Amino acid sequence: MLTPEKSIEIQNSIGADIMMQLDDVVHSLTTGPRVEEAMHRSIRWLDRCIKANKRPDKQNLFAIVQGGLDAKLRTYCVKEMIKRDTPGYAIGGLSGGEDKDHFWRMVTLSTDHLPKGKPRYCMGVGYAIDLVMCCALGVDMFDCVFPTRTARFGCALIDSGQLNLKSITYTCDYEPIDAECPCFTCQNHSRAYLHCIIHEAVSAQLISIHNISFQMRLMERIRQSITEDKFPEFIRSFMRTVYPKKNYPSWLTEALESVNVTLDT
Amino acid sequence: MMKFSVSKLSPEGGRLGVLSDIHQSTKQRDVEVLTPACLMYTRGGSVPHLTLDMVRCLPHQSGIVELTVSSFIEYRETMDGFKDGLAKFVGISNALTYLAVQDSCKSAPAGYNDKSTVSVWAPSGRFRLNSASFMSFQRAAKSNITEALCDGDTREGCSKKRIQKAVNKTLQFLDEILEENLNAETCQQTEIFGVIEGGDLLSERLRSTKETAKRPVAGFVLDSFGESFMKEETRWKLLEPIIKELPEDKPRMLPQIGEPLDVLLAIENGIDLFSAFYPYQITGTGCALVFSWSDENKKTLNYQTNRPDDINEGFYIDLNNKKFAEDFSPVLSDCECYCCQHHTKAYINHLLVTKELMAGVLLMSHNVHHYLSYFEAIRQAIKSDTFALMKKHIQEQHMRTDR
Repeated sequence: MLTPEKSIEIQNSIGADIMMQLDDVVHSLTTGPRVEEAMHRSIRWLDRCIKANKRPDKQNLFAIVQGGLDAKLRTYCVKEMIKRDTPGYAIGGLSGGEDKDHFWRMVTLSTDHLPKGKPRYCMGVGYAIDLVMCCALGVDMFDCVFPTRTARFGCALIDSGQLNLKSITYTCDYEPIDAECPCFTCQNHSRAYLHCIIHEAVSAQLISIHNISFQMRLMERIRQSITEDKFPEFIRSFMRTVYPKKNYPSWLTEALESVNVTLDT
Repeated sequence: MMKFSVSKLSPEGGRLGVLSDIHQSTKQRDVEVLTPACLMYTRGGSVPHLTLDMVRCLPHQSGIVELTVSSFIEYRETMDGFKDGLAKFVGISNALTYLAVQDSCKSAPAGYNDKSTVSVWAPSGRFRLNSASFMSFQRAAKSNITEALCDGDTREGCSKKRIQKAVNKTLQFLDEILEENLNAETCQQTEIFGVIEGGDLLSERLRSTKETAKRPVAGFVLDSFGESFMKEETRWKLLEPIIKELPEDKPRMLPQIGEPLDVLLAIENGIDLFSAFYPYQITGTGCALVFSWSDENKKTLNYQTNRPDDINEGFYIDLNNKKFAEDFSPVLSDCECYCCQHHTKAYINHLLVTKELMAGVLLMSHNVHHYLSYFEAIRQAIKSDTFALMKKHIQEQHMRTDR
């Protein structure tokens, strides 16, 4: 079993530039007193982690906000953790299969209260539309197993969604995964070829390379559009690609409306 | 037709040769293959575990990539739609292709060939081929060199009747295929290698050899010589009389043989070409090749270890072993492969324990690098008349290898 002190000791020896507190995270669909217990414990463990950190000058310890899907608990947690003045803050306890309706509300609640001058890191996100939406709600950093895990199952990511390269649809598709993608896989191989080798280990690598490139490029496009003051335009254009019939899910339109972005109808 | 010229006949056995003028439908490059050589083993056209950029870093590549019918037979529609042959489809830009019927590594199950067809096993199941369907496939594949369709189902212990049938069918296929190839347009033609069958019976092997040698083939494949097909002693007993019946000016290939000492024994007997499947087998068990091929090479490679008893390892080390968990030295300290330049045995052990894909990538990049370097060393040894010394050195390590 891991204690806050042991977790920090291991992270100090790993030497990562950013390290995470040990938090007590419950599944996002949990209800009842366990959620509150976990939230309070996470605050106490944050304090123990800060105390145990032997390399605060070299490694940045991030707090992880908990509180499940309860607005009161989450707000309390954010306010307490801000007092500890860590170099950055993670939004935790989400990305566990909860309703998107609850998800975005907890994200925006967290970003509303978290300091503007420090990075906000939403853990476990994710899908392209979630990345775009969370950026609109004020998130700065993400991590997710999704691009590489789905690659190992033969799925390639593009703006409009996913290509399941195991499918016979791709038997004679000699195009790359994405004609505009500069990654090694798209520069050298076709969908049809990836389909042929889908059971070979190397296909997992090739699709992983593409999927990671896709994620990195998406974030670059988001940054670029923000720099050019065209972020809302980018969001609208991107969502049009994902939902060509403009049948946007209501949680998405509400989330974006909350930050004054209206999707095309 | 392809030219094979012997540049040196070694007094110690074996020969240096050059393969050139290999037929290309659109002349793309001048490829000269120096023999003895190993063809790049692939699965689905890719070197297992290695993306093209990793393959490009490998030294001493022969210039020929081996593709198998079994890995593409179920993608005929894809090949027909692509129209430009397997090499382009796969992304091979700097080598020629050799089309083999079966995978060198994994023998097809026994008992599935019938009177007029040979069975090939794709991931989705069994496909039956006769010479017409085989050549139709070959024309879509556009391979530069093609092993003629053959019946190699002659496992150790099978009946004499089965062996005779295999020889007869293989010869019949060869004649049909040669005729088909002759009548094809020049740009559609391929270099045909005739296949010698005969199981473990000398009389049948000789019959197959003499008959195949009468045909206008570009080279010879000695099929079904691998582990499940005959006893080791039988293999070396059969090789010499077979080679005696073959012309000097055509290359001889021995697929299914890849172990370091076996390769030398085969070369000693006059074999020129192999399939490089051995590094893939070694990688699959989590092992890394560490063998040296001379006393000087042993000093240079300087297999680092903090345990003195390890100096007496055989051909490979098993990186699954807990003893490597804290060995922070590369597999071989002077090896220039990607794996040894960037990673340690401890890291590979960690990747194997956590079952990461990266373990295969690192091990394969090292193992193929090592194996290709071995073949280059063999060619140099024949050139400098140190082949016998090399064989002695390899034999010592062979004795120490647990098999």
